[in-house]
Amino acid sequence: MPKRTHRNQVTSVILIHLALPALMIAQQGRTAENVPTSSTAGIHGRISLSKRDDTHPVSMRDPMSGMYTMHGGNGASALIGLSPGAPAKLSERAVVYLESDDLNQGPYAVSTKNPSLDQKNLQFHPQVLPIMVGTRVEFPNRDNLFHNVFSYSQAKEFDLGRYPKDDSRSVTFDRPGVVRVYCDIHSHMSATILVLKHPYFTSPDDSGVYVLSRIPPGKYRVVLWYDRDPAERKNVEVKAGEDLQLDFTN
Amino acid sequence: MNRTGIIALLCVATLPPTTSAQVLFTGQTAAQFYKSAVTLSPRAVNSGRPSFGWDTQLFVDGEVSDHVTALAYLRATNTDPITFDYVAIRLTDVTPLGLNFQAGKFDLPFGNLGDRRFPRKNLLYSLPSIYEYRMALPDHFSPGGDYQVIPEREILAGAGQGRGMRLLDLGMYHPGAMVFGSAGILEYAFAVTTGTVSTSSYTSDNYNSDLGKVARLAITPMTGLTIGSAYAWGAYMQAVYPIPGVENVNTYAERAAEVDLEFSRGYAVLYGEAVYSTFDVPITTGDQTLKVLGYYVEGKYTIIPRLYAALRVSGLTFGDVLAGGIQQPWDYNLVEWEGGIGYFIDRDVLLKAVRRETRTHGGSGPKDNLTVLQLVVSY
Repeated sequence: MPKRTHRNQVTSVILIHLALPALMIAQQGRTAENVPTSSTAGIHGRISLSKRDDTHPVSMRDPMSGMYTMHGGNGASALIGLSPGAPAKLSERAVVYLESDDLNQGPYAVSTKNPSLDQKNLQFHPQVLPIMVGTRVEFPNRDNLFHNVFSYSQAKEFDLGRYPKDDSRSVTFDRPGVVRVYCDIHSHMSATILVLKHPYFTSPDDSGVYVLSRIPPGKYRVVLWYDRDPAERKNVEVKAGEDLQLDFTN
Repeated sequence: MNRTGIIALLCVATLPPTTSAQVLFTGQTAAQFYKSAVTLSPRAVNSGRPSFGWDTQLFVDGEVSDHVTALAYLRATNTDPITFDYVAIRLTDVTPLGLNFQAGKFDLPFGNLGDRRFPRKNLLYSLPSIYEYRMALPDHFSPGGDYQVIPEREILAGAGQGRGMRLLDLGMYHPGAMVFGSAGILEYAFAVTTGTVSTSSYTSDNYNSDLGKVARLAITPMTGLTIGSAYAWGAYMQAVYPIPGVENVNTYAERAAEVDLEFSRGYAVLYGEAVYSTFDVPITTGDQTLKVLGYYVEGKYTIIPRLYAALRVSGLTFGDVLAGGIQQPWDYNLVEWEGGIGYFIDRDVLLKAVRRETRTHGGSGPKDNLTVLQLVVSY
């Protein structure tokens, strides 16, 4: 019994040594105020989506149910006469993350704070959610009608059923990959969850400014993901203590 | 394809490319294999021969402005010609009261069939029998159904033959105009059309001098529960031949009242609808009123992601008519079960396996069954 306790203590010490830096990275990776230390690097820049129609309102039209059958319940009537939704903010539609086999080795600690994918005004918020493998995501319903969130993606298959306003369900994403999320009732609603193996990802602010900090020096591919697909990839090499500027003008 | 539909489609497709205009093209296509029992039942498909079939729907809607939308829905099947079921212009939120207005050809605000009329959202294969089953009362599309004074024997001779009109004519698409809206938990609609709920008009022509009227009110007292009710009335017969005496076809009305319910929670969804309808008919031995009660209850339960099971019970119960000096039901009562499973191969690809069992004449009459394997793709 004492021997087993000792082994547990040793294991705990090792885990703490491994987990603490990883936890720091995970928590710092998405904040702008962290300046790279002398042993790490950073990448920052601005996203300018000049070629994309980012000003057009999001269509609330649902041709199969909302437009042709207004008497069928399912919240279809809620779509009739509803003003088009405001365009989702850039901060909810874009993600910047790193690609590298070296980064995928880990280990990294998962944040204890569960991110949310809200259902509000018949849209998902955000429309792209980057998370790390093992993260538990909340799916709160903020609308005064039912939603039925589901995904048939290989990385995670789930169906949360129907639940009312201010209720929530959660899902743990335990495999990396792209998870397409939909509402079974309102077919125009969709979102993407990027399940990554590492914590080196961030979302820009609404003006397009993004910051990736505390990156280990090395060669990476920096990916701009916009809405449902990767929009641009750039190869970079960052050195210790360097803060690289990398803009995306897609 | 009718001319009105073509013009409407062209109008939608050639909307001026203004900054606010959006045109959406969507659709769904279903391919199915079906085999029914070899019976004389009106529910037998293709005389019981194993067959393949298909149907496709194309939806086009053009958002002209924030308040104006043009809609068109084109349908074609292996047994029906290409038809524009839905061609309408919709004005939304155009008055201080928040009223919406629609004119053209559209589905009547009667019942809660909603998007379950389309294969992608239909839990099973058929529509509920109140929308599909043809009763004994002849319609103007029936062989020999264009007479106006119905011989007594014809009413009973048509029982179980599946040649007459439906209680609710499929999707109930009619040319007409409608106002509709919502106020809090209430939804309301009122429509005036050229047909009644039992006699859809495939053209713009009216079959008589009367108009069909439909009023609907629905309430959603809590999320996931909607209770609705509708009332429809109007002349339903075709004014081809004069009716003996002072009356004319416009005095022979159909009146239909219905209640419907939708309830959902978690992985379960339940729908129900009951319709009580009366038809004033000029029978040779004197005018009579035919009565019929139709109903269905259907539910779906998602077992695991992608896979669901569904079951529907529907039926028609017919009132008595005086024929041959005795009172007897004017058609065979019908009870129908339909059950099946659906599996989403992908979000937009649904595979359904369905079995339908039909019993008429109170369970002792003609029997029929149908087995269907259907693949539905939406795009």
